[in-house]
Amino acid sequence: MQHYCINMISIQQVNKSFKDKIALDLLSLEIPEGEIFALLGPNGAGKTTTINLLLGFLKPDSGQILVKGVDPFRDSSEARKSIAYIPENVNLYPHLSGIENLNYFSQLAGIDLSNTELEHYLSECGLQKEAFSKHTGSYSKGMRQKVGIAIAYAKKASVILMDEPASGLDPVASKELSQLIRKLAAEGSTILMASHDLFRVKETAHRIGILYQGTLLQTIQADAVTANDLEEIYLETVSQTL
Amino acid sequence: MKTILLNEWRIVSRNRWFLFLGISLASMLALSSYLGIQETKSLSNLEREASAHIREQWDNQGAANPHGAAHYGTYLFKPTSSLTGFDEGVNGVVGKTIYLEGHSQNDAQYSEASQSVMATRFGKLRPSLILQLIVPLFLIFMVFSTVRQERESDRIRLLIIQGGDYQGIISGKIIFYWLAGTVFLGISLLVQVLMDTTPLDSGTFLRMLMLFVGYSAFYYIICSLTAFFGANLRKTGTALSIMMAVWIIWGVFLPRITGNLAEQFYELPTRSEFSAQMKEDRSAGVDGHNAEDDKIEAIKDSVLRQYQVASVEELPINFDGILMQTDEEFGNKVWDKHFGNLYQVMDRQKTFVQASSIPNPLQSLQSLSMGLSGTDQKSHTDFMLKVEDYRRQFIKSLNDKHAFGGSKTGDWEWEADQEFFRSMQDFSYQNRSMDELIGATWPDVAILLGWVVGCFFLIKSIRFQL
Repeated sequence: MQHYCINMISIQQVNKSFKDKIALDLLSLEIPEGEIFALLGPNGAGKTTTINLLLGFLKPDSGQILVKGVDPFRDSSEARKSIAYIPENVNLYPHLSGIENLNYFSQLAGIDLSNTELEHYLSECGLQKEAFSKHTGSYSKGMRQKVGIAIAYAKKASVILMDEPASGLDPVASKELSQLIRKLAAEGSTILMASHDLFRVKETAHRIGILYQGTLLQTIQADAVTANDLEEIYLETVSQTL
Repeated sequence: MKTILLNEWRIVSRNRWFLFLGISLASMLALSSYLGIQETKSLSNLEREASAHIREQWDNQGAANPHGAAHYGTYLFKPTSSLTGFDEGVNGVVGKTIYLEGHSQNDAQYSEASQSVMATRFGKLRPSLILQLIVPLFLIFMVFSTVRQERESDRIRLLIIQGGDYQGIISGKIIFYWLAGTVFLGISLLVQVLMDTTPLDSGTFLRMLMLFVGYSAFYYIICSLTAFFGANLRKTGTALSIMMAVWIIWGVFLPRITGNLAEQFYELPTRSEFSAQMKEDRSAGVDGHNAEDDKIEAIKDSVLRQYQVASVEELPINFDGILMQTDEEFGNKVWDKHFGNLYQVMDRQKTFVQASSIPNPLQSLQSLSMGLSGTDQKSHTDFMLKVEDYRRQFIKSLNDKHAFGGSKTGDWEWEADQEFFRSMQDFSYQNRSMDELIGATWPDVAILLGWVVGCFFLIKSIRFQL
């Protein structure tokens, strides 16, 4: 059991609605440094809304959100210094190579890396050396996700937000991704991942929150349950609210 | 910004479509610039040869009666400025050859359009046409594509989270494609400088510099507006449709609408009405060839008094020459009245068109481009006025020679020697000065700069929204 002290992500009593639809209903969540927290829920549960609020792209209707102590909507540029984001599909520039993409995204973050460093990050994230100089237009989704993680890794982001990062990946790529996420957390990054893949979530996360219709119904320690238990808990929790 | 520019360059340099279109456009521009210069050179040579031939005929006409020489007349050719190859303006439709003679002022004739079906129907492929219509279209597609791709692929969120500022990213793309536009412009002007055999004087250099600034300003406007709509509107189709509509309205509809309105509000007389009015007013003057004309008596009395003689036969001068000049000066007043009105109406039309360019910076650019190339209506009018000044001096010299050169009244056989004709100065036309040009084109420059400032703030107002 790991011991966490500082809350890198703090969500307190947050409400968010889009016109008449409630996306988040009094959501509260604390994620300490180095933890991988998975938000598990079906489509429309509010997972992506939570990530967009943490990214500072949306303003909460009420409540407070802090990322490393900074309000991401009010002081977005300061908050984003410590945030990395990995979407469901990491859309890189298809005419640029993996190295060039990583270089550009790092430069935007104000980080100038040498070729050796760029290769190091890509290599650490599991990308094959032969792929480094190939145009990412020829990459598989798994390879693009790896570059996405390399971007976050190179930025040395203390908070990494992932929206369905393993969606559409084959089992091998998906497992590699889990290992990478674990590795990032072990190096001190705090990770919030949104997913509806029970098995992958169980494999990757330290804690799992079941989010349904904007409400965080239950929080579970991942190592305290098996995948089957998790599935049962999830189905039971969700069915109780129907 | 440098990072964004370099990245954009890496992307487009590997985009085959961009390279294909870019190289095609650059080649088309270089070719049209080259052809324009060749044609300008060829026309200038023809004009030079024709002028030399006409001058030779004039110089070698031998001893002749001055008034006969005034009727014989001479020809002037409108000089082709070195930037005509860049922007032909109205030069294709206005005449280039003017016949100078006594008693009447002739219009410029033999335009290229009057002798070429192709030119009349389609106009010529000049660099200005490509730079005003085709390059902006290219920029619209490229800017639109790059801005929309960032949004639609959702890469923009990744860029922003990495530290890229949305406005900065959009501005970087605007600047990149604006620079691409100026490269096309640079190619055209460079070909102009390299291929033109006439030395580049400071005036032409300054005009080219102003052309560069004017076109660059327009490209910034085009890139900014496209980026603004591309970045702000949710639907791709709507955003692109708006920019295409802007391009069509600016390039096709508004210039015709404002032109038609200018003609409606400030109507010019038809050619036949104008000639009839001129003829009527002209008939009120003296007829130098008709000794029975009543109006001659008053002039005769005055001259006889001046020389203190009783009859024209006793005059030490040739009274016919004085009558011819009097007739000429009356004709000049009639010309001044009618053409003065005509040019005033044209000036009002021009002012109206310039003012109505506020919603259409392309029209301002077209006006500026023609003005700086010396091919707009104002330049043509300036040329015609200077030709008329020369004609007046030319005919006056001949009439004065007839009157005071040594002949007596009625002596139509008297001849001035060849040296007299050889001593007459050639017509030499200088393009409008920079001061005059700035005075005429400042509204165009002001409108373009106003749009640039407006677009700058428009881009400043862009905010990323999910």
